[in-house]
Amino acid sequence: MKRNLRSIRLPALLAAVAIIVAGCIVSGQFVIVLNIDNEMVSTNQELSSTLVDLTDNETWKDHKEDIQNIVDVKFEATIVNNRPDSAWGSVYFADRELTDADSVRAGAVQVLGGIRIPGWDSVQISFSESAVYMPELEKALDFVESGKFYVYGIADTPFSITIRPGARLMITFSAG
Amino acid sequence: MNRRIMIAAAAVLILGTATGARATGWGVGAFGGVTIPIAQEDAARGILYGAQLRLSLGGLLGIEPNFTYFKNGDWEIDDAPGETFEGSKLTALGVNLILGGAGPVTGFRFFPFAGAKYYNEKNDFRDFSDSRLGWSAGLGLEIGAGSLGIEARAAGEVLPMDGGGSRKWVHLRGGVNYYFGIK
Repeated sequence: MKRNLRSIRLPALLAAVAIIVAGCIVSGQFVIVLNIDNEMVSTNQELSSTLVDLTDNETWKDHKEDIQNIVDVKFEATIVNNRPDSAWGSVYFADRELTDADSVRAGAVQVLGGIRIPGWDSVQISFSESAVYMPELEKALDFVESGKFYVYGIADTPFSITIRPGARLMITFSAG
Repeated sequence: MNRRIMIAAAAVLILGTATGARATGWGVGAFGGVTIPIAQEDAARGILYGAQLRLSLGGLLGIEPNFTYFKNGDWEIDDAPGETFEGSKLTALGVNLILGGAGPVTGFRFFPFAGAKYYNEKNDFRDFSDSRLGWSAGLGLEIGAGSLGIEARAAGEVLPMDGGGSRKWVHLRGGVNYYFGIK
């Protein structure tokens, strides 16, 4: 009996080590880039949004059960200010469709903020430039895990901004 | 068959450590090589270089304080064809425990090693900088004569991340060691 126990000790130890090592090796960092093809025009009263649907994305499908944390959120967009005053834009994620800017502020999660858009002007933000707009990475986790969420672009009141078609969202997450 | 391969590998390791005439002493070394990210879509193969001290504790044991700089190459993904994004730059200060001897060697020796490192990661693309404790382990081969040793080694590097998960690399490197105080 003792011999039997001894004989399985080493294989059991090796198996445990193999499982730990394999677990470590299969985890990793994965990147999704999403295109936002529609124009988003938002004012205090009227809001447009984009539904981000990751459920068809192969990378998301491969790792949806074991997403651990959000490593990075980046965006690329041209944002137009349709008013004479400078606007301070923010990007929000929400799990449902919202009707106006106040409900976004109250019920959505700000992921990026502090984007200054001069009056009657536009800003073009690249992926690398978007890093300075303080992504609240941990706040994005639940949305990415859920696979579907709405993206809103609003600014301080009063505002009228347009996010031109062709914006992109880059999400890097850790899974394993 | 597998058993024979394992026995042969063990014999090479044991003979390798046994045939190298060992002496006490200490040495300094410099190295360079490649860093290969494992399962990191936001990183690509890059370069590494660094320096190390090799301190023999007598017998087969040694310790190795070390400094490594490595830079992930710029990366790209299928979702954004034609675009490249900047990889991280990392510095790591660590200590390895070496089995197989860390003093001068005449002949050759294999030396398994494992250690802890304090990594600093910077990434301008992500506007990110952070320092964390990680670990590494691997196997080296050193061929030496007198005060000089030439080494090659492979190591796995693991850097845990805040919130879960870890970054992993394989480091393949070659280097030269110079030993002092040979007895």
